[in-house]
Amino acid sequence: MQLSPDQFSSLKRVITDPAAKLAGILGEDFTVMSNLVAKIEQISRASVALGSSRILFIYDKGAKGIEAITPQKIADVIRDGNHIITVDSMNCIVSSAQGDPNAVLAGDESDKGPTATAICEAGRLIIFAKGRPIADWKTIADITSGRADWRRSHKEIRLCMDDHFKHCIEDESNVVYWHDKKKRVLLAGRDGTEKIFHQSLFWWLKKNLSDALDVYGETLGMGQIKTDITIVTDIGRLVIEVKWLGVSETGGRYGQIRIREGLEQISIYLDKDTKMHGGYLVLYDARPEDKYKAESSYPDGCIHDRCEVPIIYFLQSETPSVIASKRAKK
Amino acid sequence: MSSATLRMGDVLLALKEAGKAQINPTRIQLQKFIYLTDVLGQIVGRPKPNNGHKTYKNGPYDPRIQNAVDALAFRGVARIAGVWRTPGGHLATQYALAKGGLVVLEKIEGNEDFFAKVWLAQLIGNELRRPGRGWARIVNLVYAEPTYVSTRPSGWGESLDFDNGLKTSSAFLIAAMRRVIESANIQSEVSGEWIVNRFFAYLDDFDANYAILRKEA
Repeated sequence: MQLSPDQFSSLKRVITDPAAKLAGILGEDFTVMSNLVAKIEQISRASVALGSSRILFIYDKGAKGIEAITPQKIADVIRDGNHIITVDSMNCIVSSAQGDPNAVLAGDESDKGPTATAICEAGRLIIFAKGRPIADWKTIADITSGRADWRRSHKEIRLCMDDHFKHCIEDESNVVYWHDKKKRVLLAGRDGTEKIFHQSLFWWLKKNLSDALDVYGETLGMGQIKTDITIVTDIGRLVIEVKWLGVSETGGRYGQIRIREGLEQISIYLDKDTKMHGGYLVLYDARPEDKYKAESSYPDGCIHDRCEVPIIYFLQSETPSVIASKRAKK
Repeated sequence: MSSATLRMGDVLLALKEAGKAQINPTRIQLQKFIYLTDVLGQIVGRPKPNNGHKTYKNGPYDPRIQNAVDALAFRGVARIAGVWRTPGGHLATQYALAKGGLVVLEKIEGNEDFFAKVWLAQLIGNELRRPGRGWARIVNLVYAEPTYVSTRPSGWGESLDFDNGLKTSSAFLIAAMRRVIESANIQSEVSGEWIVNRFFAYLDDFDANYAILRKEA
């Protein structure tokens, strides 16, 4: 790295600020964006106002609202059954409407204009601009914003992902993913099975890669050309594709071929973007152990020069005592 | 246009921006303002001046800037607004635009060679006028500039290669800034205004968090 740790920290603070990114992408004034983000962040922290609701905020530069955004006002809007709120540059509510405030809508709305949109829920905020999520953070601290010994360089990304598996995935220690543990069926979750693993890994890398300038996590359903996780480093970009293997509660089923699909996908990203200097395929395997051991291969020639060997994490569903007795019988 | 004329134009633009902030800048402040204009010149494709800024006892220094200031004062284009002796025994001078300077400035602002510099000087002037900054902090801000931070330990007289992206420099910093925005949205072209704004935010942050620690150390 050419910048000193002090310089790197300063740079990271000033460019990963969501308001700075909005200002950069939309060409808006930084102070206006900063005030807007601060106001929405305040709503996200005030979980009393939101409850379990999600709100989609749409920024309309040209509009003029009257009432200021406050947790109380947002609670009133939610009570009226509205979840889509248009706001102006003075942080006032212009209008509210009914609808499902999902990531696809947030992306589409931000592409019109173009403008900024934000999905706000208790403890979490995702900002979109020009059709893509540009910042995603937890407004309330959680386990992943944790220990000093979890922090690693992007050069140790494999170890960082191992840490994530050990502290978050293994034994469902931080992420619940089994729908039926005995039958090894995965949950589908609100946004799909992949999102369960993707989101958890994204947070982990965002918090624990100490020398990454930024980490972007894409949202499902927003197009096939978008990478799952992109890590911006001082020398370029890394891409991570997240997949799962096995069966999900909705009947989704993925086997060995999925590994190859993931590798092909990464090859496409790496060919398209010469500034991507590395690719990783991470798979969470919910298939039975014998399948995990016997059917985890892929053709030799399908790994791109800049892509690492696929990382397959086996999702254990049995307790250590059951595993031990099975092994003893064998 | 000769480098001496260019430097005269740079000084007049700096004096104009200082005037907007109701400041009569010192020689050191003028040196720093022009240094920042040259550093950020790379975002509009302006090459670094040959044999320009070097490390010196009061930060980056280009003797041609001082020559330009003296020449402008001698010709009545700039005026000396104050002179005093510093505690160290040196003469300190403050400058301002003279009436004749306004006419010259008008011509400079209409000159194609200066379009980009006029625009940059305005952006830098705007940043300096933001709350919490001001011309009084310009020396501290320049001391936080990455090229100067990395070159300063080598001693006086070292050339400041702020446009060399292969070294620790502002060019490297700006490239990293662009990369973050590009990664968020490939279609976005990062504006010069945004880079200048974030560049100053960086200088502020570095000065506030690390410069004091170094002084204490």
